[in-house]
Amino acid sequence: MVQQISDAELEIMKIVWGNPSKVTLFPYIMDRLASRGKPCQKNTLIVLLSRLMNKGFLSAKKIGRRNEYTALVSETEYQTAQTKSFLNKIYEGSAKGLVSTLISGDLLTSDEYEELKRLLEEGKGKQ
Amino acid sequence: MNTVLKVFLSMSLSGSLLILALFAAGRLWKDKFSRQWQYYIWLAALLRLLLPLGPETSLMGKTYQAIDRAITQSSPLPVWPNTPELSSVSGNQSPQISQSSPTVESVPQNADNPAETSSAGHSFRDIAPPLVSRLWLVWLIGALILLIRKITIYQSFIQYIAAGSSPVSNTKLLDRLSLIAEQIGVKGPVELCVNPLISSPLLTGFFRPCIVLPSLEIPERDFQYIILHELTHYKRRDMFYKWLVQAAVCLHWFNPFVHLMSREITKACEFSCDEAVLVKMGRDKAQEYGKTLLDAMASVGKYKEFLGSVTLAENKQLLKERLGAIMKFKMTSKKLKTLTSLLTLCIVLSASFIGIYPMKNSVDAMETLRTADISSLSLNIINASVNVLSAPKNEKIHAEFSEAIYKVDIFIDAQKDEWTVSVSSKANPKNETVTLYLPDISYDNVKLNVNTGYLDCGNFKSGNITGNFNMSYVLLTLPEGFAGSVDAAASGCFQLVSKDDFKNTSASIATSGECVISKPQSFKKNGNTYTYTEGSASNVIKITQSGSCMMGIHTSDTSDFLDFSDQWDFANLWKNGELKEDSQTEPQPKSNDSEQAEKYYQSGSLPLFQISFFHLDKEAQEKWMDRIYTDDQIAFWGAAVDFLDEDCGLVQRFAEKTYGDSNISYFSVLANRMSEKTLERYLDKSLKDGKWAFQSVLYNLLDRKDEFDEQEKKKEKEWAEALKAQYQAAGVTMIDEKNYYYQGQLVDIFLDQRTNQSFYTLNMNPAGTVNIKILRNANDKITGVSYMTKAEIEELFGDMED
Repeated sequence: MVQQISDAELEIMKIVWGNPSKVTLFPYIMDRLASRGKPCQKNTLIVLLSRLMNKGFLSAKKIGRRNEYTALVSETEYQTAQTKSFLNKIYEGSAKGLVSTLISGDLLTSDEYEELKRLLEEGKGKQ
Repeated sequence: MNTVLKVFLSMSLSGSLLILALFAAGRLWKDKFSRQWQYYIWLAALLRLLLPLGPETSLMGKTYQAIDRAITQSSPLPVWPNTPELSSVSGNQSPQISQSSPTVESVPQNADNPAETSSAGHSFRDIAPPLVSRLWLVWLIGALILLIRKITIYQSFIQYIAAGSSPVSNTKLLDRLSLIAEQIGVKGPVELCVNPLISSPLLTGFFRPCIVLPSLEIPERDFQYIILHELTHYKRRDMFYKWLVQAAVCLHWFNPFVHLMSREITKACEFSCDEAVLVKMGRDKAQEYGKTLLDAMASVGKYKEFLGSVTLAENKQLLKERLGAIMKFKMTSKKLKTLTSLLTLCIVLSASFIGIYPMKNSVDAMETLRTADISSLSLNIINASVNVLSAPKNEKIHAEFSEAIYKVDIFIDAQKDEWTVSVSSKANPKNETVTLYLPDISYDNVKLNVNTGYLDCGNFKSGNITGNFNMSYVLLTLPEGFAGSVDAAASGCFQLVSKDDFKNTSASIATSGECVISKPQSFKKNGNTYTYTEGSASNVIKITQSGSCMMGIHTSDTSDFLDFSDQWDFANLWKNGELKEDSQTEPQPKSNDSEQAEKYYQSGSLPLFQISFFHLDKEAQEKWMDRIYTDDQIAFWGAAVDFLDEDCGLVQRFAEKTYGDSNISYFSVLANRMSEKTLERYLDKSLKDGKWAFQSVLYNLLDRKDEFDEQEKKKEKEWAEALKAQYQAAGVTMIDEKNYYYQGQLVDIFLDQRTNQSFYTLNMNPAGTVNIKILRNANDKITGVSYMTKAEIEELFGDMED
């Protein structure tokens, strides 16, 4: 089961997920946080990273004096897990409710709507 | 006693002394010295309590040894000398004699007296081992229970904290935390949690610190101080210090001073932490910091914090003191710094020099001995003085000695179960003696080889003892119930004591030429051999004289005068070679012997005096005995009489003299050298003269104790009847030996005091109505009866209360 993480922690995870290379280094996260306008202290980042490791989101490999961080949970996995819990919490597990809210609340652009429709058709074909 | 326990108790005692000293001195430096120093100085006491290290010569080392000796050797059961008359006389004698009678003076040194050692050994053996082993167990179990309890409490507390804690995700707070951490030099991540269940901020974790706050709704300034305070604790490793203290408390749980110290350290810890924070912040922040402390205290009381975690505010009283200290805070001057560092040096040095029970001076056999085993022992002594004492069964062989003088080696051949102890001297031993503790187990073969040395041992309850004593002074005591054999070749001086009077023993002593022998009358002489057989004759004693030798064979009765305490001049035995000359060459010219006798008499060296005395001619011996008698030196009297021939002229002469003087103690010594015929003659005489004490001694020696008791009873009865008649004549009627009537009235207090103050009759009968006393004249004749005045009664009972 994927655990809940705080906003600050998610911020870090996004940086790790967004990193094209397989492993992420400490200075890279520091830089990205600063460029996203959320700079933090070194120690703070260490604490947050260790929390993420405890929760099973990251693994660290020590090479010399530097840590190489790898994501153990992919962004999709995380999104699926979060959506599931969101669905359960708000719509009592009904995806239909979610989609209808998306449509009736004007939360989808027409492009997104068309693509969703196509995805649905494909899904039907598969079944 | 177990050595570990001994060392440990001494650590506890030394630690306590140091704690007391620190407490006393603490009042002096309370507000003067840096709090930091006041906190860390306790480490000196703590390490003293935990580390069993000490310099070889330490302040308390000797004391501990003395205490140890007193505990190990003092006999719980007093050993009564043979005749009560003797003990009272010997009490007034020179110090060596009073040592030999523990009833008079029970000083620890008297354990060196062989006669007592063996009996003390008995009672100690019977009582001590279960007691001591239990003591050890009680201590260990206590310490373990406490330690486990503390650890489990701590764990459950940590669990309780962890369960209710949620990590702080506010990066701003985390950032501030890391800034402060960087500022005071804490490396590594510090976790920050919130737990609404706790009352004040605290720090947990040894290597991965976690600061737990009761809530996040605190002003920025307070947050800063709290973090600073807790991180200071972490940085100074206060957790480790606290647990070190807890370890000391667990191990020394029986020591109240250690508990006191623990409380004081907790206090000092907070004080010094406050100080460290203020040093960082500067003097002007003191007030703000104090306010933070107060705010943190506001919600105290939700959960009783555990000693092992470091909290910001411990309790209100402490808080008050802390606030006071914070306000008084000032930077330390350079002068004070020098002073404190000097003082630190003093305390640390005294901590190490106060010492512990000295282990360095003793040698322990490295292997633990199997307790019930039967082992063979071989003891080799060359130019050394050794006193053998028994240790409890489960102890190791160990020896106490001065390393500068002696060399002691203990080898254990575990496969053959053979132990070898070798003692030799590196320098003139003077009066130094090696005390050797042998476990109190059954021994199989015991080999004792003594070469120009001194050996006193009496703890082999069984075994085949082979002895080879070459120009040595050996006292071998066979304890009561001894089962085994003795085969000894001796030259020099050899004394054998059988505590159970050679029960079931077949003994033979072969002498050749130059030999002085003192032996019980029951040993039959047959040429140069003396033999004795009793009971099953299962114990075989064989003694061969291997050179010029002075031998003493003693039963429990005659061993009372054997007293070779450490006062005897051992050095003379081998260093100056006096004994060697004495015994290897022909008897010395008379003048030399009497000079020597004089020397040894003056120095109080009994055994050497005895040797010299033996070499004197009859005339000189007589002079000496006269002198000893005049000087009232009963121990020397015993030594001199010991080797006189039975019924010889000297015995006869002095028997007459002492009998005439009614000097029972001197007479009874002589009586040991009288034939049965002579004894009977004196018994008849004493019966005729009505000398009770003499009758008692003589009946005893003639094995006719029953007759004496009978006589005594008869006599008492006669005496009581005579007294009754005397009272009757004075007008006092005595009924049933308890109720006195005077002029028809029952008497309450009845007092009959003889002119000789020591003898009086005092009878009380609460039912009585009158108080009377018998009046006597100077010749003890009853002259009348009078009523006692109130003052007289008060005086009488006042005396008794004293």
